[in-house]
Amino acid sequence: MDKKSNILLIENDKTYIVPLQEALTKAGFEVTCIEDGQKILESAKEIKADLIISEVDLPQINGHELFRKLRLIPKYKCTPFIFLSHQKKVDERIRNIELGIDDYITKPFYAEEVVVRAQNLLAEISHIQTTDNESNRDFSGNLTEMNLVDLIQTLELGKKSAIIKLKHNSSHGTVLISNGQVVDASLDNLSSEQAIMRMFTWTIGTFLVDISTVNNEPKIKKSNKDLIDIGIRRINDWEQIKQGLPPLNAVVLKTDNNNYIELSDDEKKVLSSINKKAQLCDIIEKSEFDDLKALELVRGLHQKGYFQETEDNYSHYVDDYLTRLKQNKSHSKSPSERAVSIVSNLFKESENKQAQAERRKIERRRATDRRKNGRRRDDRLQQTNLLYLTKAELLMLREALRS
Amino acid sequence: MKIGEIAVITSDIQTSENFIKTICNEIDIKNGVVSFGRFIANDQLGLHLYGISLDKEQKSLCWDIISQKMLGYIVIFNWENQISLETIKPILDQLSNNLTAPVVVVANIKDINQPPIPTIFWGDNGILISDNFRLYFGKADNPKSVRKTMILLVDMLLKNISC
Repeated sequence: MDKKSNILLIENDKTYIVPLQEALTKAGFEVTCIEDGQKILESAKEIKADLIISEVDLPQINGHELFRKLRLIPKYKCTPFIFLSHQKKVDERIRNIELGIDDYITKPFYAEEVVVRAQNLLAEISHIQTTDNESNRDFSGNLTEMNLVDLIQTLELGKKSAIIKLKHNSSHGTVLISNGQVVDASLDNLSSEQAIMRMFTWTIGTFLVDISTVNNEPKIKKSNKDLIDIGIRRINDWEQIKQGLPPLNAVVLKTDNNNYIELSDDEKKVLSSINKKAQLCDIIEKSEFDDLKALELVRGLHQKGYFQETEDNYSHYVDDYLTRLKQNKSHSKSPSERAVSIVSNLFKESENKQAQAERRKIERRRATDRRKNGRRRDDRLQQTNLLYLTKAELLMLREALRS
Repeated sequence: MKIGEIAVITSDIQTSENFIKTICNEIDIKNGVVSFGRFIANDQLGLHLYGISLDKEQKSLCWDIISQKMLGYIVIFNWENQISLETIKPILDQLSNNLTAPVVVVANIKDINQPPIPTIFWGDNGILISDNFRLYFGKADNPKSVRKTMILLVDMLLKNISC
């Protein structure tokens, strides 16, 4: 988060106020807590809120009414809104979604869950705003679904010129493509090649491709093929070394282990760069070593017990879990190929031995029945049953659906 | 009035109800397992949509009866939920092995404006998986997306007629 977002917490149950306020503040939000919805309406002009989290059952004015009234105030017209409620009935939840709220959390909950939902919601909104501000020729997405290698391959196919802007945690990098060829990259103070090598390992974050003319002098001499080969190798190595480590956004503390004799000089350098606690990704990015080497050193230190995870890592794990859920394993295919392969695999994978045996049994039974009774109803299933509607009727239907 | 029938199969009843409600404006019948809605194109033509959930106990359906009636199938799974994906696998097997009616597999995403892959890769026609199967990224309760899904299915039916 670049600047602190303001959260307005409207809750009258003290058992929830304290943990929520603590967790949200800890996560870097400015929290204003008010117990009565009516007070909000009275002092709406003074309150600044990037996100509103409100209980539904409030005294004086209930959450629904408060939501409707706040939406009438221009300042809160688009402010994201999360409801908290004991109400578990599906109908009620649907009603809330229909009302236009952005998220609904059922009580009891873990405060960390609310933090993660708030972070995700604000990130989504900030992404939409960024995207809206860009021209129509742009396209954007998630690095989990489409990493830098995929983007370069795609632009190379169309011989496009574009500026790729990548965002990973708080880092922003840029890659320039001219007529499908990578010509330059920038990230912090790194050289062009170092920058692109680091960005190849970013599999979490967002991208924005701005299709525009690029006339820069090539600073990267390697061909796309060479770059992509290196990129794929780095991604694979990165993923392998990362195994066994906590999520890289986890915060670790230095332990009291003082047995530095067993450490290599490089490991000592990495260890000495940490004051007391730090995020793993920061340790890697700030080290003097190449990212892969730094990751390996960090893993070594973690395995030898020089790092200890802090207790507030829960939200990082939830974040990481959600991201992994969306993550596609293959990095060598294009996104559309990936999507097709996922669904194609649905057919293959579930065709296990039991299903095959079952199918054979059914086929044998059908054959016997056919001999006895002629064609069975099951056989007719093989015929497309689309003749219920004629072509003209289907066209009519299409028109009705379009209108 | 001539009626076409379409099955909307989902891993949970809520998603199919949302889908039907979005296109039909209201759900005529719902009993926690199956939901039913009507889409009236004009006074001559309409569609009946049957929402079928694949919750735990409802995996075995009378496919021989259902399949004789349906124009096509819309199978929805939650793109972000692996369990939902696993739930629809057997049904996709059933459909691909036993039927030739068109199937639109909808990967239900949280935000239609933030698809997991750029729209240029699939567009309004979805991604072709096989002759009768298309994958489409959509949102089960977004009117525009639901209509696109239905149009995609009708287009597949039209293509089958033309072939």
